[in-house]
Amino acid sequence: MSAAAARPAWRALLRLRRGYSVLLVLAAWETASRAGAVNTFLLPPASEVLVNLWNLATEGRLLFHLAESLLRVAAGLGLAVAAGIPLGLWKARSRLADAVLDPVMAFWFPVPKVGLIPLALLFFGFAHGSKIALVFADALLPLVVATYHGALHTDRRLIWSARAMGDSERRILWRVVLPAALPQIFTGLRLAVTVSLLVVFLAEMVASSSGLGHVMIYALRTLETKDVFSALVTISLIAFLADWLVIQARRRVLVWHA
Amino acid sequence: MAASAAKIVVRGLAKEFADRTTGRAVPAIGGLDLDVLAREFVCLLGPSGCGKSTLLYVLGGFVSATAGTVLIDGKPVGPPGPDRGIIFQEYALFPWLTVLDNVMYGIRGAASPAERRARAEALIAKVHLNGFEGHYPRHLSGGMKQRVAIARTLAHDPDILLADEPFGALDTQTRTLMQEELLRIWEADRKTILFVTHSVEEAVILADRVVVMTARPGRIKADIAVPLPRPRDYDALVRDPVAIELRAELWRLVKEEVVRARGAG
Amino acid sequence: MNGAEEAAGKRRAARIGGATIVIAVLALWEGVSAGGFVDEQVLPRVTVVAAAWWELLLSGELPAQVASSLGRQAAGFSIAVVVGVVLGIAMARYRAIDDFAGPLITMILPIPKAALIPLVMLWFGIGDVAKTIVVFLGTILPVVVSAYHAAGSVDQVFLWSARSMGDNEAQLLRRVVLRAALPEIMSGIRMGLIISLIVLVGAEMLAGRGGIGWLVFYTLDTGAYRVTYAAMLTIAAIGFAYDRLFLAISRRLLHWVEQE
Repeated sequence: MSAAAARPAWRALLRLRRGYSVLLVLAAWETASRAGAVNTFLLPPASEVLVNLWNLATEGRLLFHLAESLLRVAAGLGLAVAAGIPLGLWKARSRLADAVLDPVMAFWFPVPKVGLIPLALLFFGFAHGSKIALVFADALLPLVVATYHGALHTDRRLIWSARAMGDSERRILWRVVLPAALPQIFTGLRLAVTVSLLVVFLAEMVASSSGLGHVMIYALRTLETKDVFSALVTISLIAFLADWLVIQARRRVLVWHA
Repeated sequence: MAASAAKIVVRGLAKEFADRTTGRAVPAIGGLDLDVLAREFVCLLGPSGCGKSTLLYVLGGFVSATAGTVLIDGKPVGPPGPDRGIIFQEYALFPWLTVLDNVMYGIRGAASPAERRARAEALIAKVHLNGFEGHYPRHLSGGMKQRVAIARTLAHDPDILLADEPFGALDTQTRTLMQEELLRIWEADRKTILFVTHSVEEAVILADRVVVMTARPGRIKADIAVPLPRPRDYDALVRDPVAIELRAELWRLVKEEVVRARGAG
Repeated sequence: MNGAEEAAGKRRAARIGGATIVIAVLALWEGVSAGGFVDEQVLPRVTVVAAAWWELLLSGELPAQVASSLGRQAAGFSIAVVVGVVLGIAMARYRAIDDFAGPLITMILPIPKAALIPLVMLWFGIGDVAKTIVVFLGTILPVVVSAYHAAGSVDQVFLWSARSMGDNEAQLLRRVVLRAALPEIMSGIRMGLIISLIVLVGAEMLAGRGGIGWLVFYTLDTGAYRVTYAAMLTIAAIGFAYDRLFLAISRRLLHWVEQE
């Protein structure tokens, strides 16, 4: 091998210093399972899980459940964004709103909302409604809090400048305060996405006949452990992708922000 | 053996940093020789980024040199320890400890808690902060914080004091008072001090000797004795013809380097 | 002292406002249910739910289930806090540990913790051990990440000062790194506390007997909605009480932190 070709290989090896442990764990998993050191029912080989995942995906059933979960998250999260950002802005700009929302949020924030699954089921039904309501309930607060803090700490001189240029208060809210609060809002959105995924899969496990959470718990109850692992891999990929998307969107929108 | 009589001996000291973006080595200090005698008060003067703080950190044992030797009492400099006290511009008081606990932090050994406490209280009195023992750093002004930092460093009774622009963040009035206070403390027990500053006035008021450094990579440009009698009277120094002449000379030397650094940067 | 008085006044106003809103919500609930706007089966009146709650309390059913839940929570949570803080600080200070554990944690971090519940059930069954492990897994990641981040960004002048005053590595970790990192670690612990309750209640709903989450779901299945509501209110109250307790402890530990 020539020196020129060896150089990138050497670099790749250096990069392995961070990441060798992941490969090590995957290799240990595969060999332990294949060699029969662990029960393959409890821990099927990683390669078989991947093959199984591919089969499930091409067969279409997994994609249907994936779509169900994503629809619920998108709807709940969309509602939370649509309600949370205006609420946060309002709370920052109005004393009345601050006085009303503060105690409500102090109560609502620490309540484990999954405990209220029965309430969601009774009021919004067994299908999409209950999950959307729960996602909304959990994603709303991070967005309100983030928007509120971002808007509250808007540089006063920016607002004064806008006012001096003759902007109306409403225009200032949308053209000055909201953009100034965006970095914080994205932080809140990231948290909201994380919480939304947590709650949607949990709700689907507890009470649903569709969605990835349901797939996972159904597979467990029918002892299809390969499906349990395949669903776990899918869920993890979705969560990873969602987080990556928020970060990318943040980078796109906040080009001006350091 | 005149050289070995010096408290601190630096020979051919060089220090390179890796640039974060390019990864290339950037020289901060380029072949520096320096002797500091015991009980001498030496000011290091130079433009920003000339490596004067880096020299201090090497002496403190916080960063290692790329080349050269650094001896303290004839022995190679070791890891940080209580034989060398350090005072930072940012005070570096532990915000979770009270004034008293900050000063007691470095007092160790067989002394009983009561003795350690008494020693800390005496030091707090020495920097005129009686009554503030129970306060947390966030309740103190910049000048008061730096007094606590001085007391904290004196508490472990170091052989050498390393001061990294300790008064750089203070307003002019407070700075003047702190200089007077430091002189008073130092003239009482005369520890070896290496004091980094970029203020010509400060160097003339405090030092026995002023070492002027070149722009990066830092070397020694001039080594100038301050022939002013001690104890020094701050007010008299303002009009002292020797001091005025010295300030002009030092300022001329530093200015050359500032201009050179700007041209290079 | 004017600022302190003003803050106290604001707290008092918030408390009065909070009480008003709670009373208003309860009155609305009672009215909606009693007025027949919602089927009283689906939404029993507040007074009925309160009576059911009182009955559960006296019968010992509620205290037993709450104790069972909180026992699991406390065990998993405290182990996770200790392990998480130690691991996070170790990763921040020692390259080899970071190289090994860092990528693994980066890989596990984004997994919605709920998805780990079936896996834990597969391996450890549906008993107390499994639920304690679920709580442990839910709590530890935010704690590790906050401890890692906080310990890695301790101001260098603190470390250098402590070294020059004669601290060895162990003293430095205990007296400086841990103390300086504490504010950020506490916010990681708060996150962990919230997640721990979510996954615990979820796991109890999914499998096994016992625990407040189980009580909620069991009574929903049997149609005893009064009890379901009483149990849900209890879960909400636990979450709220935990948060208050956490904030009180946090304020005591971090009294030296500059408030904005």
